[in-house]
Amino acid sequence: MKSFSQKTKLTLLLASAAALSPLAAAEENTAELREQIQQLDQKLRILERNLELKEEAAQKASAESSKKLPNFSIGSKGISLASPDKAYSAKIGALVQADGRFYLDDGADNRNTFILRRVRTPFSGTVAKIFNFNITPEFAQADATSTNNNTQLVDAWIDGRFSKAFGLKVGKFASPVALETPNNRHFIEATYTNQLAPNRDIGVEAFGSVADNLLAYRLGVFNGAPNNTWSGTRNGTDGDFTVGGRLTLNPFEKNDNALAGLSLSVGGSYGNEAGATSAIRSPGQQNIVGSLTADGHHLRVAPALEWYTGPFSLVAELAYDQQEIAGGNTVGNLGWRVSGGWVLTGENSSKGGVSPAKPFSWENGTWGAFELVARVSGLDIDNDAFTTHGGSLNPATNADGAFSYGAGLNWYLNDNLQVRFDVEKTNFSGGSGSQLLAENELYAFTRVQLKF
Amino acid sequence: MKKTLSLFTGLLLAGSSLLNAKDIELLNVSYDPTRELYVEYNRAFAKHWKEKTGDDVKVKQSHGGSGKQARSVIDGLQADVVTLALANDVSALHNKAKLIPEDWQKRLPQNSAPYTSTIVFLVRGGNPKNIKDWDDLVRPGVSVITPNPKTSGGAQWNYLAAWEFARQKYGSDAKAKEFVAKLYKNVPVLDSGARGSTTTFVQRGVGDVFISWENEAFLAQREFGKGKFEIVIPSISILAEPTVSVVDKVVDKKGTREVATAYLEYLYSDEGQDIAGKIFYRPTNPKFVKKYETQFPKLNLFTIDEKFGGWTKAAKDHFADGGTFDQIYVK
Repeated sequence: MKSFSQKTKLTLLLASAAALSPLAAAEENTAELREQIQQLDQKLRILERNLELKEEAAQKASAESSKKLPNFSIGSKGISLASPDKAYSAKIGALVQADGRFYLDDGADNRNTFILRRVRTPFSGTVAKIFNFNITPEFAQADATSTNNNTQLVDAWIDGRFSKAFGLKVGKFASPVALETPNNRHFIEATYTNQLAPNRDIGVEAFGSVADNLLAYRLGVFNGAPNNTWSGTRNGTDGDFTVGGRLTLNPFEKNDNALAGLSLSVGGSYGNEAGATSAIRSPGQQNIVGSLTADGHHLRVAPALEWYTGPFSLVAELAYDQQEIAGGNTVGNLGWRVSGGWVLTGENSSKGGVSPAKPFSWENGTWGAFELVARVSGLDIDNDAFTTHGGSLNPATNADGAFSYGAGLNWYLNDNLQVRFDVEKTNFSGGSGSQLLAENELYAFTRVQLKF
Repeated sequence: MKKTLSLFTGLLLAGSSLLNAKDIELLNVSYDPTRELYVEYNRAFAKHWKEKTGDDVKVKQSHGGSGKQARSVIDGLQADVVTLALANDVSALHNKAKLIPEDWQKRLPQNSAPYTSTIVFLVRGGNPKNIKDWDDLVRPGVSVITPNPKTSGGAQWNYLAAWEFARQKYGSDAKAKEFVAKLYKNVPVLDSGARGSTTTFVQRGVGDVFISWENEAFLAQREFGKGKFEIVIPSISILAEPTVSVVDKVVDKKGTREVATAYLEYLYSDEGQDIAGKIFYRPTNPKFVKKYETQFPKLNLFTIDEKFGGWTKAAKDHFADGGTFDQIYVK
């Protein structure tokens, strides 16, 4: 192997060093660049983070200031104003029912009419989070047959909801005895079961629910309004109070099956009453049983079943009304009904009604929801109510029973506007001396309702 | 009529006693890094309270910089209890709004500090800036993440720990002030709370070292893995004693004193102490101090009372308007 001289080695070393020095410099430059990039990256991250913090602070400040402003809203649930913490709120709503009533039988003349059935502007709200109130005036006729246009008070109550299990309500409000108020779910007008229970009463009521709403209760003391009326401004002529209430069992509410919407309930009341009882009306709102004179114990019992599943609904209710009357007789009348609905457009049915999936829009060609409804109902008047058995009713001019059956179509244009159409036939028994009762009853009712 | 009314009253009384189970809601206003602790603790307490009384209790949590949280309560936030980073923030509830009594700290064991913590350094994997002690935080080119001591309790612990280190090493408060001023010159982002600083350092990748609550450092390491972050134990640190109190004016108004007091007392129970240890807070019950002793590094710790004459004095000297922080920190 050839050996190199010292000089040659030195020359080679110098040549190599000369060749490598640019490489070393380049590496140094790369490290410097890397360092600079890292520094720039940090600066960028710092700038980004500081910007992010500024934006967060601005958003928080904006959210804080909006929290201090009251919330105003107007929509399908009315016009409302609420404090930022929602502890205080007030809402104005509206209910207008414009009915057309047409009788297709040959009974009494001049019964066809247009009426404003209900015109109400409920004013409701919350005070200090747990107290609620409702003041609802009625601007329409006092009832379906009245020509009185005086403004009346339908609801005026205050409640305190202290826990889910316990609340207290005072004032004038819907009686717990009947399942539903006349503003009922399936048909335009309620039927016999509501004729045997008070509509509104004045008093004090405890309410609540336990075991995750398995059992709900209402229990109160009331002035004791006569059947199918609103309690007046003070207690009646008897001076006695009536205890009333309702227990509702929702056994399957937490289940995710067809039975989830099933509830069973029983309402009732007990007290003393004196004075004139209310006349009883047919589903077509005609007086078919006259007034008696109450004088003594008054007992009402009203069990019911409600079932809402998918587009279907079913309500069955019984009402028994027992009243001691002047002369010593005790009259026990019975009313019942079964009604059902099928939402043809498939939306879910509920106690509150139907919310259309595609609200009516001429522009979009959507029509809202349609529901087909049907009802059968009956009334049996105790013989002891009639003069033939010691009572005061004339059997020639008062019905001793009735059976009604009918069907209807409800059109829900949107959450606020409905159009309803019902046809119902009633066969009366007894009262053959009355033209109305002799001819039975066949009506076609329509209603346009705005509610928010 | 009398019969009717007495029947109703009887039914009402019988009914109300049967239906007495309550739904209770409490609000716990706390500081930034206690989210995980109170999520788990609230669940345990709700179960305990249900078993004991049959009542359902739901505890809502609110978190933020400790000083800011105290101000919110003073301004009207309806907190049933406060669990804040430092006693001075709780005392402000008495000093500024008389929401609690002056001797609030005597109502629970260990001066109302059911768990403790300390301050450590969290650095990036491999410790590229070779951070070993407080001295390294003032080196040029070292970027330090710590929150704003004006709003964050954790930041005040950090500040005082750095101050005490410098005072011991360099011999005077003047030197300590100089040291801390240099340290804050290395702070590029000043978050309002400790959790924000964790986001800055851990998620946004800003900074070389994060002066962190010990539990926050452990949680970051657990979440992202030990290779990504390392914990550095400084030669000296501070014994942080987060304190808790019922807010008397609020619980008396809401009628929640009994459950709110029980909520705080349960922090001292075996279950409460065990949960604190699991979430990397240092328990105070000797049984759980022993259980978790291997989890926590041994540190040379001092207290605020020993070195700064208590929180009232420390706050006035350093964090009140015109205090040392205002003097050294120029934005």
